[in-house]
Amino acid sequence: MPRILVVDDDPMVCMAIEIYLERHSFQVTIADGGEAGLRALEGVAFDLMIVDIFMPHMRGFESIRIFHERAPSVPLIAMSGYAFANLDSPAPDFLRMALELGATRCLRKPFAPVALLTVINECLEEAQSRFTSVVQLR
Amino acid sequence: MAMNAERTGAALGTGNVLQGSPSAEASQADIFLKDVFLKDVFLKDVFLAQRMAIVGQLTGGVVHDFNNILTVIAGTIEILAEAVAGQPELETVAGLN
Repeated sequence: MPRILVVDDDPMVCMAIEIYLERHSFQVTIADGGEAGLRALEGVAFDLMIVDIFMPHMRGFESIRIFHERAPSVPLIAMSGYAFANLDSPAPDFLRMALELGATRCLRKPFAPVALLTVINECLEEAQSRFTSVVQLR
Repeated sequence: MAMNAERTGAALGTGNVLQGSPSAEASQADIFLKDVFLKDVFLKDVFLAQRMAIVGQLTGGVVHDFNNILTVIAGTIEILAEAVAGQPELETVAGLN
């Protein structure tokens, strides 16, 4: 059963994701912020991390960078509900920037649970195939 | 004219602005008044930009919260839809989202 760490400062988002994923045979640990998420990373080996961009006590993309640095081999899905009022303005694309900082995939809130499941499965399959190819090289 | 301009200059704290011939005085006064006008326009633009930035931040925050709520709603509807699978009437309701 794959272990997933969900880090989001919104408890309702955490809970919804937790219940949905547990119904689909994932073992889920939720953390209500960056610090709690990092503490959870210390004790347990996760197969995947889902981390919100922009959380309290974390400056900007710090969360993505730190989580990726702590567990570089664990796929990281960045999610964000932040949006600009004027989509035509040359605003920075936070999700693209998250990819550059180490996120494997990005999800823009609101997302459908099916989309989350698809992205999770893609990440896990990619990680599995990478692991298999490394083992074969040895 | 020169007197009026001098008064204007004095009122704005520039007692030595108006000197020389009448035409030079008028020219200097024009430049001075234009500078004051441009400064005023510039400050108004700055204030407007600051106000718009604040409105943008507030809007972004509201949108962020709204998107979080929509994510929760979409997730819970999906969970409930799975729970009512096999009950056609409730499945129809769950499929409305």
